[in-house]
Amino acid sequence: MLVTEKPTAARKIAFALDDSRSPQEIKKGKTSYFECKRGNDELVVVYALGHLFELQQTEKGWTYPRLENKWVPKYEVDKKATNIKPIIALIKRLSKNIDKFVVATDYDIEGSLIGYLTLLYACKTDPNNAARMRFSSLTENELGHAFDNMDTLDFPLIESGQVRHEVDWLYGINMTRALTLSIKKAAGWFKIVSTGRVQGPALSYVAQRENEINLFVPLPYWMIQVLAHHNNKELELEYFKKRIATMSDGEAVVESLSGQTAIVDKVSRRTVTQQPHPPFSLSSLQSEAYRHLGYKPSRTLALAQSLYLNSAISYPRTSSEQLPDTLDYKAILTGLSSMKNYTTMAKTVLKGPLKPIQGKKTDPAHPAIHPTGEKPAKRLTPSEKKLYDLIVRRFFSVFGEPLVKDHLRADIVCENHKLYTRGLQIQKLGWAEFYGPFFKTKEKALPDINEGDSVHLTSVDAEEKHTLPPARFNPASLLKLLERENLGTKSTRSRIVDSVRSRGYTIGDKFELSTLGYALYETLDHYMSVMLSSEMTRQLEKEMEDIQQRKTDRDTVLAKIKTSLLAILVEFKEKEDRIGEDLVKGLQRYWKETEELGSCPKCGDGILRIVQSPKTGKRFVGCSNYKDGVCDQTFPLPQKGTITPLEKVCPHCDHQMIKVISGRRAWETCINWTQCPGRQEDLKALDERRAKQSKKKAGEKKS
Amino acid sequence: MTECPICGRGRQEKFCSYHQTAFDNMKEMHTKWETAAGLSWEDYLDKIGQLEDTGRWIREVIEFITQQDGL
Repeated sequence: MLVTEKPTAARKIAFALDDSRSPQEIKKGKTSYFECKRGNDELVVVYALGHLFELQQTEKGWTYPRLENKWVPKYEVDKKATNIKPIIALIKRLSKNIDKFVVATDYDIEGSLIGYLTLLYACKTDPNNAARMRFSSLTENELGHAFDNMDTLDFPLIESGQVRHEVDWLYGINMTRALTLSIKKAAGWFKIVSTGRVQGPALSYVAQRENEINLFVPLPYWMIQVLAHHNNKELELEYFKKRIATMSDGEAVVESLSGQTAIVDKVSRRTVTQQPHPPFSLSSLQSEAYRHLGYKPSRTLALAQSLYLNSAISYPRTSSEQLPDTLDYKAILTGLSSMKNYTTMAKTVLKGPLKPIQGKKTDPAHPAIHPTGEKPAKRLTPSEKKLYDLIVRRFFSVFGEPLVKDHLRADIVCENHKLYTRGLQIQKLGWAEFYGPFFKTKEKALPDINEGDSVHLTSVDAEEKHTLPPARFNPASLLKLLERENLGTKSTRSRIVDSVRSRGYTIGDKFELSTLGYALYETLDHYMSVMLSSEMTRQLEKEMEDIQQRKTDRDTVLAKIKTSLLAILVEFKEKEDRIGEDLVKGLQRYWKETEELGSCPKCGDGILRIVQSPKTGKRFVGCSNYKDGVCDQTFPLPQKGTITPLEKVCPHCDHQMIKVISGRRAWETCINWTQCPGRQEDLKALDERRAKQSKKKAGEKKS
Repeated sequence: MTECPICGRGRQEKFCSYHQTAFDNMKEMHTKWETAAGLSWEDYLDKIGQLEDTGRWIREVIEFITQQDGL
């Protein structure tokens, strides 16, 4: 029996291992498995759906500390995971007549743990007797090779994965409960406020950056702008000092240069060669995909995973920036040459020496992300196509010649002032030719200028500029910071980055800290800064690495962690009242800012609030006096996107204004938008758009 | 401990820790603006209040002290 991680992987593996390439899919209710034959072996290929088993608390009570747990079927913890039950039942039943078990999940920490737990709790077999297939792509060749060269299970890796789950469970459950219960005790509300081992430090980074931005005072400086005439052409010159500190100094430079004639002192050319960028690791792919395609890291990971399951690329959860010599570059490039978009490029690369540039980072389990050369079995979605194009072009470019560019510069002097003008010329594109749309640079020709030429300065100005605050994080930069600080893993970081926003701690794409985020950060920073500390998490990561290297073991690490967690929880309990009070104050500020829309125009003394109907789940604006049966004022709201109350009223109807952000679109409207005399045109346009959309949908259904 | 007149958080000095740091920061930066552009305190408040990149807490302090008719 081969235990795989997902249905798509099971199908691929069964197909690759079956001698006749026609495995049989046996359907059992809503689930299925595959039967195939390889030589004398009869193979049963079953699949999981990611993790089939999760940790569950063994002691009673929704309180803390809770330090004991056990692995149970996922549907016992997550009531929505009903699709897991028939899968576990099927694996249990099929396991009865099996001679040999093989783990064929993704070869990484999570994949190994999924396989191990499935063997232990569903197959009810001893994992010590099982075998492990190790592969980095779902291509026939690699899967065949992995099956013929199976190994034993990697127990240190599994143990480390198990500890990671246990530690995350211990911290997540206990800290979230501690925070939530402190609010309940202070105000009687049940509002879940979550934090975790990595989420706390991630929130702390965002909050510290927000502090810097909120405290920022721009400082002035002056930039000298010079326009000159040379051979009847206008030239823009730069002053040798980028920033002049005072207005009087700026004015002095202007006075000294205005109307003067400067002399070209020197014209120089500096040739620079630039090697290709190294092959993609997951984080460099996520960063480049965000930069060029605007995909957030979690989306890039999901798309890359889908391309991997489609056999189009190698395993994406890798830290490596290196392609091993054992990789058959020629076969991959030949495969790519059969795809019409890549024929010319693949053939060009094939003509050269197939020696790729290598990066510094390595990963013992997987090579850098690369195309397999196989045509994707399934048609790619537009987003998958774009990411695939980025991966393929990066792969071509690592075999490319260096890019050669000339930096040109003319130094110009006028009395004791230095000016210059610059140009950039690309001599040879090299690898950048393959990287195509993902290579961006601006060429700028140097004007026809020679040493000794005179240049007349026609306009000299000192423009006042101001220093800028540090930039807010975006999903890619926060992910990069977590990686640099060694927090979380390549598989979990993008989820953590998403969670900071999905929990309401930040607003918008730019990770602007919300009032709720502030409330949590400032309370923890004041009373329990250890819960925000990256030091503790980094130490845990190191211990988990040590387990993988057999320098320590699960029991030792867990005992240590439980002791330190208990100490944190005891301290929390002592400060619970004060923490609860501060969180409640913060939550009140948060709700006021995000849900309150001023006083009610109908009853006058009620407060308008954004509320959600418990029956339909739809949101609308209602009056706080409704519960007392005094006022029934309501206003409809757009159902999609996030709504932020604005501190202004509508110029047409005097109702409160709101900002709606849905996807990449953001607009402002008033809460009275359906009746507002100034918005009837917008309403008409919306109706027309909706009618058009439903017509289009009806057409699609018909076809 | 009473409340910060700007945000209602607890305070040890004139403002809460955030707005107090903002106020101290503003005072420190004024000397730099004075040297660079010769701005008086009032002109400086007016100037930075209009700049897009001035921090939120700084703006809130400016608004407060302007309403209080200067400090």
